[in-house]
Amino acid sequence: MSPFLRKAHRYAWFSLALLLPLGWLAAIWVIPDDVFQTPAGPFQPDALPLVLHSREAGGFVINVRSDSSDTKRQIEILIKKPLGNPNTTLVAESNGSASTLGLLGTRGIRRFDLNSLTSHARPLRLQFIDHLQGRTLRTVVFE
Amino acid sequence: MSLTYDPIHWTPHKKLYDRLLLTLAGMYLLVFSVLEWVWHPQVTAETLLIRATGTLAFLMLHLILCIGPLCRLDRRFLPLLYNRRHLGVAMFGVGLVHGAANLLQFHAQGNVDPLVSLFASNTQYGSLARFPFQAPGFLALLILFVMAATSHDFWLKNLTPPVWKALHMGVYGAYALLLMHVMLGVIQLEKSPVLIGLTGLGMFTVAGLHTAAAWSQMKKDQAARPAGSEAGLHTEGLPAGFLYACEVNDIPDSRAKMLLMEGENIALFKYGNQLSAVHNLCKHQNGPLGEGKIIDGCITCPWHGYQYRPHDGQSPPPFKEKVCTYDVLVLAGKVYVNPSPYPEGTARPPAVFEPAAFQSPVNPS
Repeated sequence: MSPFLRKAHRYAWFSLALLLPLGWLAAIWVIPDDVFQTPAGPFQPDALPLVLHSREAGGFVINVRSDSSDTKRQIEILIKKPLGNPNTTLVAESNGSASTLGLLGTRGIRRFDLNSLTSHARPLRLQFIDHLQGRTLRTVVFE
Repeated sequence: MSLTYDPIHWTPHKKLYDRLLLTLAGMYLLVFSVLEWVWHPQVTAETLLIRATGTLAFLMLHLILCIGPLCRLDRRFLPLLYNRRHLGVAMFGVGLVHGAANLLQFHAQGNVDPLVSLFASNTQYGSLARFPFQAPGFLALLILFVMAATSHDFWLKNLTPPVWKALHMGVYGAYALLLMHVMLGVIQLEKSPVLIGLTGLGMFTVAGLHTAAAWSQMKKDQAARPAGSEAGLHTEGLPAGFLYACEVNDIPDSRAKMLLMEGENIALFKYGNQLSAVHNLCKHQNGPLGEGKIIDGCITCPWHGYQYRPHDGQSPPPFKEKVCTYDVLVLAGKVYVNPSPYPEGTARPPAVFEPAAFQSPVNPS
């Protein structure tokens, strides 16, 4: 390399050696407390047999499912087309308490366990929230 | 070296390099996919493709960025430099798959232009925590595209090595953008200490190696300036223009001393009982000829093996590359160089010294 390019490399890397760690640390500093990606409940590979309620909203089909004795309930969401907001998180709310169910992501079927706080309570409010943009995209209420 | 612009001038070494590269990349994708399926059984094929290619491209970029400083710190890494451009183009290809899959998955199936969607679906550019992290990834891919598109020797020749090298320094900007793409994207979502640690390890390794190599190069540049009371001075009784460079014994046999004299970047080679000086920058990529050695009677560039005859700075026939030459004089074990360059390829008689009187140090190679 010519002396000029060597000097340019030197200045570039002396600067980057300072700036890159700063950017790295700043990004760690701002990691949000909310957990977006980690599933909030246990993995639900199989659908419960009974469909108690079903609702179609935009590109979604939302089913509330239960087992035969209605001791377990499940929210099943069929995403028919890719979401405009890929970081959409599903939050269930009833009796004044909210519970994050999980991230929706791409096309396909998602199933979430409804915990004991929300499984039988009415109304059951499902919120589709994009935490990155700080917006509630849609609210579906099961009366 | 090549006389023509072949799309790729295949050699057995290049074929082996590329086969090894493809095999390792394929193995990485396979192992990553299996582990991802085991750890995240609900993962979709699209997500798997995005994650596998994204991590592979980022890993390859780290390797590419480490090769340059490693070679400057230790000559044993020089074989890795030889086909670094193949690795770079392959990395761009993998990154392009990652970028295209993201664009198709998240931005191409709405009623907004995908590129508009990429930049406008999240407009919180003022927030670090919610920064639209895909934007820096896209900009980095654009830089890497320009570099991949101009990687061929055709562009190197026509843009000239200094412009080409300056253009390809854009990879440092691309790396900074990609680091923030990762840190403001997947790290914010996954919050995995392992991912944070690996990203930090990669960053500190790359930045540390480049800083160490830059520091080492500064010392080499200082050493290239003639030292001692006679440094750079004209000596009485010598023809006009000759300046003191070093002692004969300062140069190992078949090696060179790099000199910075009167703004000229010179490589002073010793071979047998002769000394010749040529311009230090290889015509191919401006590699440092003075860090090369004499092989088969020719100065051989350490970067890509381009060769020049020491007495006239010309590549051996049929090749056409030429560098400037300089006059050299030896007097009582002291070497003097006239830093006024002759036109490229001008033959100058080597300075001859009495070998018995000036024993060379042991050749480090």
